[in-house]
Order: sequence, then C-alpha cells, then structure tokens
Amino acid sequence: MRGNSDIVLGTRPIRAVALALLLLVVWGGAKGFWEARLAREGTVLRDGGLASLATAPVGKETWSRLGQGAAIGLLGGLRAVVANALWIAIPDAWTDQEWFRVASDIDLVTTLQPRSVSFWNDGSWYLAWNASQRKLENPFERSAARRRLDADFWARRGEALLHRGLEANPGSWELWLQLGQLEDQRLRDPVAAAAAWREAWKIPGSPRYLERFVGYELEKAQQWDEAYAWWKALWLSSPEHTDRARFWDKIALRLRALEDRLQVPDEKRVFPRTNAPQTRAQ
Amino acid sequence: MKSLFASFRLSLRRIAAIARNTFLEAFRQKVLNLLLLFALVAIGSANLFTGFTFDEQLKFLKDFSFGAMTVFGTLIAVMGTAQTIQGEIESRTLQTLLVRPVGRGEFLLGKFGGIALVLAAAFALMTTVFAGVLVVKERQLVAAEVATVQPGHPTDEATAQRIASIEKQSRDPQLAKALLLTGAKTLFVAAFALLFSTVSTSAIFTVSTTLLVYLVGHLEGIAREAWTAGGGTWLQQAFLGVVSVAIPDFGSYGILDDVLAGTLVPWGHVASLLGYTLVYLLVLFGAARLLFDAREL
Repeated sequence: MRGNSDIVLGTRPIRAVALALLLLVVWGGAKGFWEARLAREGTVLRDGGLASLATAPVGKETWSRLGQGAAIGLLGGLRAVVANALWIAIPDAWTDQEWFRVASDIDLVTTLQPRSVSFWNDGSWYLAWNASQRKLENPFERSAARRRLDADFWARRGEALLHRGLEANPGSWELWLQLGQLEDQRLRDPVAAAAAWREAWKIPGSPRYLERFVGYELEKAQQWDEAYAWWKALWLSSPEHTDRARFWDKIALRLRALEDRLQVPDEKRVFPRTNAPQTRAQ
Repeated sequence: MKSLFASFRLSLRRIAAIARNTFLEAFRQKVLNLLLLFALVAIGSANLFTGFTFDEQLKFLKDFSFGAMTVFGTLIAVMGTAQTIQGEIESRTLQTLLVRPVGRGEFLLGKFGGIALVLAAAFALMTTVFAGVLVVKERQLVAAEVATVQPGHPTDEATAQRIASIEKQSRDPQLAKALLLTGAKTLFVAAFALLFSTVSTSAIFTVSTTLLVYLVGHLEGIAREAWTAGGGTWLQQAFLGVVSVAIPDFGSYGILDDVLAGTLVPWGHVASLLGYTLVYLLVLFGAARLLFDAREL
C-alpha cells in the first residue's frame, strides 16, 4: 500500500513491518535503563559531587537567553562550540564597558561549560580586574567613595565567580591561585589570600612557589605565629636543602627574621643564634 | 515466518563488493566532496584564534575542530546514506542487483559498510589536518613562551609550567576517545538514515527525518527524566513516553565536550557508550532489514 508520496510499504509481509515496529518498541523500552546509567555516569564524571550545577538539562532561564542559533547548537550537541562563540564575543561588551553584559555572558558560558577552568579564570579577571579598575578610574563619577564602592562590587563579583568555579572544579589549583591573587592584590585580604594559596599548594601539580606565597601572606597579615609555624614546617619538610627551585635561602631568611621577631628560645630555633649557619633540623 | 528468517543468510563477498562500490561512488559525488572540503577548511581555520590565552586557543582549536568533524561527519553520513539507497532505487539499478543472487539484507549491509568506509576515510583526512594544525599551534605557543625567557637565564618555574601545560593539552591521549566517540556518533546517525531510507521514496525525506531525530535526540535525556518523574497531563506523558522510547539519547555523547575540556573520562564509560551504540545499530539494522523486505520495489 502506498501511504503517501514520501513513504512506501508493500502489502506482502505485513508481519515484517509489525516485527520491525515490535523490535524498535521493545528496544525503546529497554534502552532507557542503559541511557539512564550513561547519563548518571556522565553527570558524575562531569561534576563529581556537584551534579546539579552542570548536568545536561539547560534551565529555562538559560534557554530564554540563548538565541535561536545557539539553541540549535545545543540541540546539535555543540555545547562547547556555542560556549566558545559566546566567549569570543565577550571582548566586544568589554570594549564597550558594558560590564553587566560581560557578567551575564560569563554566567551563560560557565553554565554551558562549568568544567572549563579557563572560562572561570579569565571571567573572574574580566570582572575583578578589568571592570573593577575601570570603575575605580571612572571619569564620570565625581565621588571617590562611590568609585571605590563600584570597584569593590565588581571585585566581589569576580571573587564570587571564582568560588562558583571552585565548586565545579575543586581540583583546580589554577582557580585557587587566581583567587589568592585577587584576595591579595585587589581585595587586600592577606588572610584570605594565604588560605587560597594554601589550598592551591595542596593540589598535586601546583607551582612550588605557592608554598612561599602562603608564608609571605601570613606575615603580611601580621599573623607572626602562624607564619613562623608555616616557614618552620616547610624547612623541616625536607632533610636536604639543596634544591634551588625551592629557594631554601629565602625560606631560611624568613625563618631567621621571625625567630628574632618572636624571640624564639635557642633550643626551639631552627637557626640558633649561637651557631648561626648550622641548623638543628640538619 | 520461516522464509523471512531464511532470507537473512549473508555473503560477505557480495557485501564487500557493494560496500566497495558505494565507497567509490560516494567520492564521485560533488556534494560530499564539498562537505569534506568545508570540514577541512573549518578545521584549518580553527588555528586563527590568536588573541586569547594559550588555554583558550587550544580549547577553541579542539572544540571547533571536533565541532566541524561532528557537523560535517553527520551531514556526510546522512546525505551519503540517503542518496546512495535512493539513487539505486530511482535509477532502477537496485532491481538489476536484486535479480542476481543478492539479498536485501546484503544490499543494506553493503551500503552501510560503504558509508562506514566513506566516514572512515573522511575522518582519517579530518584527523590528519587536525593533528597538523594542533602540532603547529603547540609549536607556536611554546615558542611564544620560550621567547619570554631572557637569553642566558634558566626557564622560571611559571614559564616551565605553562610550557608543560601546553604540551599536555596538545598531546592529550584522551583525544583518541573523542575521535572514537565522534566517529561512532556519525555512524549511529547513518544507521537511522538507513532505516528511514528503507521506507522513504525521496532522499530529502530521509535527510530531514534523520536530522530531526538527531536534533530531538539531544533532548531525549530531558524527556526521559520528565517521563520517569511523572506528573503533567496524560497527553504530555504520552508525548514524553513516545520521545523516550522512539528516539536515541544523543545527549550522552555530550561527554565529548568534557573529554576535550580535559575531564578524565575512563575507558569503561566510553566502552559503555560504544556498546549502547553498537546494540542500537544492530536493532536499527534489524528493523531496516525487515522494513526493506516489506517494501515494494
């Protein structure tokens, strides 16, 4: 029988058609379990404990903000391509100093690809440094207090973005490093900077200079006891002090300075005053 | 019913002959060659993003290249399959073929094998171009980092770390998984085109229906979740149920993005996804075979 101009089926083996449909329906019913398992595994791989942030279903709010082309891209499985295209367009908003548009686009991109560390990292830079600095130097705002408030607003937004990025990527030392820089140089919070760099330092593969950054920040925060404990722990962490990449001379310098400042008794010093170059640890 | 299953006997020699012929014929089609050319240009031009950090440049290169492979691979799969079967029917060469001792199942398998060969060749070419562009990009980025080190000075830790990161991202063995999944996905789409070709009388119908399934397939996961969660009217539930049962979950291939983003995806998950695809291919081929058998030619 001819159904319409596009589909044609023969009259002969109607059983074959029924069997084909039965095969598709039975498999259609059974495949759901496999698909659900694949989706579950994919979610865990993508987000670990943070499944809700980045699992595939795209929220209604996100849909409404995407253009038709972007939506088709998502449907076509081109989520990364769409995210990249949106990201590439961000410098236009940045050049026009439309900071809320920049922030909104960053939110959209990071929603689409929460596991892409560079989006969080560079996005926070756009907000906490570029937007914040522009607001601080805003020639149209007479009030210095207002400029300061605006700058602080964008710096905090960049900080919040990094915290969200870290929720999605807890193993990223790059984001902790960036957060430490932001806390230290923009928000002038050395305690928070030390905490962030300490987290970065804990992650395998992070730069070794971070161990010194933590000590410097603790000193900057005038947390002398904590700083001394940190430097001392670093010094005692290795029996050898010959690896030039760890800059033991700088660590020794800070230890000596703090032992003097804290008036550490000789028997507890790493560098006793009586035999200065030799150390107890060695 | 007995005669139905008896007709499932297959000859590998005949299937291979049809596959070889399909492969050669496909490369004579200008449309497919043009698609391949576009894909190669798209992959080559993915190297042009330079005003970004090295992380972003490498990410863009990989994402856009695999995006191009997915899009053009899918188009080649759909158009190639639709055209090759419909072409045989319209030119009446199929009747000539079937009066020889060639079964309909052999014909379908041969056609599918031929399209698989076309896709393999296209992917080999696209992968070669991609690998070349990636090597060039890696060298450019490393050279830029090395240039920041003052002559006579040792490379500082931060620069060394950036160079290591560039090399790690460029030589990521996970790219093999991404390639495998992209190929499997396009083959999956080709199987749907094959199924629709067995009942369709026009290539356009096959192409549009297959692309519709492909697009809706990326939302099947959401439909399935909503369906199993319950709620809504019976009409909504019925609609969601039909989508969940009739459409495959192409959204599972979204893991490709995570592979490219550097998330460690174990081979177990890749194997599970490939297994799902393989079983689906067998089901689709079985249904296509039955429907094709029922078709008046």
